[in-house]
Amino acid sequence: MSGRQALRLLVDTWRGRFGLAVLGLTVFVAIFGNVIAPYDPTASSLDVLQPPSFDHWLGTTESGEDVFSQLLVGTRTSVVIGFAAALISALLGSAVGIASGYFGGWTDRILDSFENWFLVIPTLPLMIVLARLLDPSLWVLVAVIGLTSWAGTGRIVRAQVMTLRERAFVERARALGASDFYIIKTHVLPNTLPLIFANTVLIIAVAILSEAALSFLGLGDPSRISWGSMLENAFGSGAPSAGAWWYVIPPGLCITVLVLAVTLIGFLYEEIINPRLILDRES
Amino acid sequence: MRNVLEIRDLRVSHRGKDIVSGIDLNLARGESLGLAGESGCGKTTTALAVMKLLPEGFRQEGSIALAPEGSDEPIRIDRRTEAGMRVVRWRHVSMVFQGAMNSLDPVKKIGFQLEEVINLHEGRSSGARQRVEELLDLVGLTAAVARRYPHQLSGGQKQRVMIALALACGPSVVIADEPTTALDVVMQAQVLQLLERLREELGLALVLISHDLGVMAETCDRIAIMYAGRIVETGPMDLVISDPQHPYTKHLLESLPVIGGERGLAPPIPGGPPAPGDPPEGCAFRPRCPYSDEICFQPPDLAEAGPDRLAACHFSPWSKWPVLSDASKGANP
Amino acid sequence: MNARWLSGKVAAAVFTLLFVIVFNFFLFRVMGDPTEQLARLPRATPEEIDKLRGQYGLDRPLMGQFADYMGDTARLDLGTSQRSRRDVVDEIWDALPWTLLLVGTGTLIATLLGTWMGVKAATRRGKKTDDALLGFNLFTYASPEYWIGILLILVFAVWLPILPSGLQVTPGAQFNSAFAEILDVAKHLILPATAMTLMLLGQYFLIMRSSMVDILTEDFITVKRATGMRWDRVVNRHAVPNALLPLVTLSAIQFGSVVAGAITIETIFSWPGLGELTFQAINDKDFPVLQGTFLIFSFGVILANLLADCLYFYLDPRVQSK
Repeated sequence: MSGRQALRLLVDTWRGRFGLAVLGLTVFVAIFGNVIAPYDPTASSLDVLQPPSFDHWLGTTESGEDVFSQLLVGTRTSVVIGFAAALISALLGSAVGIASGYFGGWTDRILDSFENWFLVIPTLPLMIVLARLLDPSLWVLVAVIGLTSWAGTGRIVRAQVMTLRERAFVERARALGASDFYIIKTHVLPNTLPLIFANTVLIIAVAILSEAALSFLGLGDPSRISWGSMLENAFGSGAPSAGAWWYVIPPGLCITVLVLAVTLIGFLYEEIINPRLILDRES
Repeated sequence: MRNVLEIRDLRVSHRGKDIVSGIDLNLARGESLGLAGESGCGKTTTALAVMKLLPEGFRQEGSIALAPEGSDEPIRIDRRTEAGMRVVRWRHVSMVFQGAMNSLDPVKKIGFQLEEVINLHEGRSSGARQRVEELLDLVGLTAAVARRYPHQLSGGQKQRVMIALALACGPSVVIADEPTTALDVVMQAQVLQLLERLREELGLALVLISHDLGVMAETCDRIAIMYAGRIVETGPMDLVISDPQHPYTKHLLESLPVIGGERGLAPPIPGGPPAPGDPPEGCAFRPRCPYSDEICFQPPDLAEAGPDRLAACHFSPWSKWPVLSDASKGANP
Repeated sequence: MNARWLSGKVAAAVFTLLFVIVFNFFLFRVMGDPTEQLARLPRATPEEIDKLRGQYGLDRPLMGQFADYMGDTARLDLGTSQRSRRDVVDEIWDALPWTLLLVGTGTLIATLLGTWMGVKAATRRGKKTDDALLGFNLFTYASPEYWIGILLILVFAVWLPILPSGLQVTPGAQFNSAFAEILDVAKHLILPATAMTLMLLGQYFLIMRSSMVDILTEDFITVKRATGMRWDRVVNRHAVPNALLPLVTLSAIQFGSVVAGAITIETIFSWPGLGELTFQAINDKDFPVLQGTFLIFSFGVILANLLADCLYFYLDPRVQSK
């Protein structure tokens, strides 16, 4: 799958177009959210828990802040953590997967059991423990999420590399005396990249959800607004019992739509690589 | 109806393209008919049309009449609904499928899968268990096989199970679609002998579908050769083999490996068959035919080419095949 | 059942558990500063802290501490909660049944419903039913489960106040009979269990659907249909049992998300299970409890994985004879 094909796929399918549109809008808001926000998201006022009005499109919070502004500003936290954590996870997972699949033997045995353990240990409790032990900040969250979600990628990459290793062109390169580094760089990596890419896209979704969950549990960066921390504040201040739907629905909906967009793109690429997972109708 | 199966002007299309474009076939009682041709010529599609098992998106037209022993009126398969077909399938016409490897449910025991079909058609309390043992014995397997799972059997054993399955309800017609392709040579011969023996013993009519004329030569009474969704030649097996009346048949015969024959390697048929549903204009074989001429841009009719024989070639009956090198000018139109 | 196969799986599970226990120690003693746990005590003098350090064995060398920890864990002594001053094991023991009730109900319903919907969608692939089911399940798959929980509270406890918004029983209620009490608990269970179900449903649906789509193209399905079998029997007797196999393996990997759901959903509904306990411990920086719940969650997932392996073994004859 070349880069061009990968782009075509996004433009030619409804799922790709939906994903691309949502992703584009989200990234735009993540960059310019502060500028376009009508209010200072942390400026409290006496208009407490007001329903949507002309002044406050999505109403106000329990301390009279503008929900819409918070939503716009909070986008950046979700996007940065989602993408950065997925990147770490992808790098770590690919490195471990390639090493384990390519070198085999004891390297594989040790790395594989490590992978197995990380697959089995429930991720959220592990993230909670790490986030609680360290002082929560944006980059701590990135590290915590990235370091706990790589095992799945490692497993998939390992399987792919193991089949590649037996293929003729790799055997030939080895017989010709090419170094391991060279073979990995020119033969293994290019053939594993589409798989890593598809997986990373799916990990972005996991990372966004993880950030939201940690923030919701009060383990987010206290100096930043995120969709998860908005939900935490909304829930903590009793907004649901007050019937303040304008405060409760938007952050969750944003998370859902972004995760959905990313997941659909991820599935799209996964289907190309592995046609067993077919989501679309035949066309 | 004299024949047990009569197909008239069968057409199968998929997205507006004809996969099978109007074929007639007769199958007499107890007869064995070979249906030959390269892959993609519509053999399997024809078989599935007889069972009305074509996947969604396929349209079939033309009449298919089945006259099992003792029935007053022939069953018009083409007029049957899905529910109506359920009593015809296996009861009257059954099938041995291509690819024995995946033809059985991997998580159910052999015995269960055989009994299930018997119970389905004969009702429960029909002594299905007893029948399963008989069937396994009939195809040369021990009763212990009933307690096995498919993955515990060899390819040959699985294909025998599939034959037992096909015979489970005493059908009048059995269609065997490439029953030996997935097997090694020794197994191939055994399975063919088994089919032939059972046909004689049970008096059923057999349609043997294959791309391998050698396989059919030993088993079949009559043969029909298909090319690009049409029948191009049909007639008694021995006559067609000894004196083919269509250049395609001739080529199929020549490309057979001749053990102890004069020639070593036979020349392969030049080019490949057209894509299903997209035949060239006129005679579909024209682009590959060394004898093709101007007239071949007109589609030939399937016309009489001798006693009890038909061929779809403008030049048939051929009294003498020209030497290839003289005629090869036509190979590249 | 094949004894050698089983003992291998059990050994692997025990090994993983050992790893988790060791990992747990280093996580809390090495990465986290143990004195931070003690700094919570209001106005503790340095002498008092030193005394406490001695009490906890924190003044001893790391290896000694490790040996103590392994011994304690083996005796199921997980320390004392800093908040309630009760044994962590007792806290866990009290909370466990509630979590099992919630997780069990949610998983059971999600499995049945997800499987059923997956089969329906796969057999009506590309039709309206499929599109609708796919849309609904992708949405629940992508949305945070605690947000779904909050929405459920908003709709069913605030707008239409027909169900309680939290807790496991009506506070202060006196029950005439055990039945009345069970009914009250069931009423409280509805919303959290629905949230749990909706969280798991999407995964089960998507796995079952693609697995069914896959199986329905297999040769043996055509063969079964050719034998004159009714289509629904072909689906239920032959396609579904085969399609369930990937569901069992893949859902085993998802047990971690069940745990995540337990934490957030219990928090939302003040359901007194292990998740709520974890949430309290996060807020109070109650490390012994956090350590204990981490251990029990890991143990739960390892056990669930082992059970899934056994189920797979039971369902797939091809594994049995290897």
